[in-house]
Amino acid sequence: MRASGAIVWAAGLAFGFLLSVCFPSPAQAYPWMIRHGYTGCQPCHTDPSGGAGALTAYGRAQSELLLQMRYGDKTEEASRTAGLLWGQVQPLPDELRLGGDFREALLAVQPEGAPLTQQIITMRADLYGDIKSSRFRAAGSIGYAPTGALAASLTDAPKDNLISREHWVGAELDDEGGWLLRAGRLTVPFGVRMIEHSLWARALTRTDLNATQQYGISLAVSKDHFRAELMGIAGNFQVHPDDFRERGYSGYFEYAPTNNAAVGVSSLFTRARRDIFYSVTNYRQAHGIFARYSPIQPLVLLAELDWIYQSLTWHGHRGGFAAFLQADDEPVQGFHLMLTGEAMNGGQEGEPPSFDAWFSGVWFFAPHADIRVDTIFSTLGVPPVAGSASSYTNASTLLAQFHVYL
Amino acid sequence: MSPSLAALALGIALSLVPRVAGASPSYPALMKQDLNLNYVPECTICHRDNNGGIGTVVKPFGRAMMGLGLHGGSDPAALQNALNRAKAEGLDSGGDGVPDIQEVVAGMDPNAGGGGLPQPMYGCAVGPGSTAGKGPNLVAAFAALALLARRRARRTAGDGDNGVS
Repeated sequence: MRASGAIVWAAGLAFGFLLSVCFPSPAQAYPWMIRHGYTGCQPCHTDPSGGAGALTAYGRAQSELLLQMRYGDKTEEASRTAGLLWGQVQPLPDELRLGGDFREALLAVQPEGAPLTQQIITMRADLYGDIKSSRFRAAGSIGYAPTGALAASLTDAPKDNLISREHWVGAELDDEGGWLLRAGRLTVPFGVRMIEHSLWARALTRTDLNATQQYGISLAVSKDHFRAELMGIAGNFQVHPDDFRERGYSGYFEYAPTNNAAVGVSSLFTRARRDIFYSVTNYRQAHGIFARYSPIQPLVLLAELDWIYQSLTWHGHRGGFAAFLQADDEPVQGFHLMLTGEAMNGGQEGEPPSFDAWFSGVWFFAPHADIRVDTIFSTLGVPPVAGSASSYTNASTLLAQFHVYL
Repeated sequence: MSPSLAALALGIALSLVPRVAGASPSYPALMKQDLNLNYVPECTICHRDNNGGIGTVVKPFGRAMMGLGLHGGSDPAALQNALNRAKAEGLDSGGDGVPDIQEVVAGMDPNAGGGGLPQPMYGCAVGPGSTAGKGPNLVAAFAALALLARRRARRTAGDGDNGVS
């Protein structure tokens, strides 16, 4: 490694760990890449279901050629800046994929009838690696979280923790790498894996890219017209005692009849002796459908509908739902305008449904960097309590993010 | 300046911006004050995790407080009113027969029916005072790793220059 490249690498590491970190936030999960005919995630991501982990060399190249704004550049070959640390290090062997992900945000919340609160949140600061030897694979991530992400913590402080969201070993079962068997801490396969981790479909099913990963064994397949993953969940061993660990399964199957449309189904069932939120026994399940469709290249429609059911000791049975519909328009490469509508009901007795609408813009303005602004208008249903009738509470949220990946 | 360096510089600049705390007192501190507690409740008494936030109130106690007129943000009057109503009406969101306010005053989780139930602990090195406040040391540790990598790079370059692989 050249000395100058090592200096840049060391500076990148120091930069990464000077950042305070991590409000739960996914890395990069862009299911709207279906507009370019990518129905599967595997070409670009080392995780077969996308989003988590390092990018492949191909994924880095496509990030420059298809994702970022090109300012009139028509070249069809990715430049050196697509590489690790903007190409400032020597190209790594194909078998070694490294990366890092950092995100900062300004969050302003205005509840109805309450004062405005605002804060600058340092979101994710993680480093990832994935290594392949023959058909064997190993991957992992390590990061620093000043607050949050406790379920992914390696250390046990209330804040300022070292975290690891994913770490696993695996084996490719065929020559093309279409079948991947893995064991370790994995992102739970369910629904549309996307960057908006706070969408109710992700939060209520506990299948986001933040800290809801579980230990277990999964088998994933990715072929031309379909992809699927099924995971046996053994629990989150970074939570103690064992009572709080969920056991069960989660999986999805997606079929893409054409290269611009895909439909899928998801299913999840777990049982925990003590649910991590409610501290009582919970039999939790979620089953749903999802779809991705790009009728014309600038436009992608994403949708998901999940039925969620919980059987909680002392709290009864709760049947609810979570759904979203998102329209992503890319009028110019690298600039996205998105409109997302959500609805959910948590299933408490008498709980009215909640709704919200997101108005979002994302600009991939430079290699490895993007900025994003979301304005969210929420109407949250509140179940009746202590003789009071059910009610609604409204809030407006502004979220501005800066994201850079190594 | 190339777009790449501009992005890196902007990222460094943003990481150095001091966090801006909310302008109003936080609910946990207000609860301590209103209920004369000897501790500050965690945000997870109402929220999914300690980051709080709109739409993350999943705990039964938090949902019940919303039903008593408490909303997000920081509204001391609404909190005090909701706590007073919860106490007057004997709110028991845990369903264990012990009123929530009584449980909170006793340092118990009002969401956990049966009071005194165990709470989850996080991390692989569970133990008192094992890793608190070691953030700066982590920075130093990784900086040391980076320097070690640089020394190795120089040594490798030197070997290459002598024809040794």
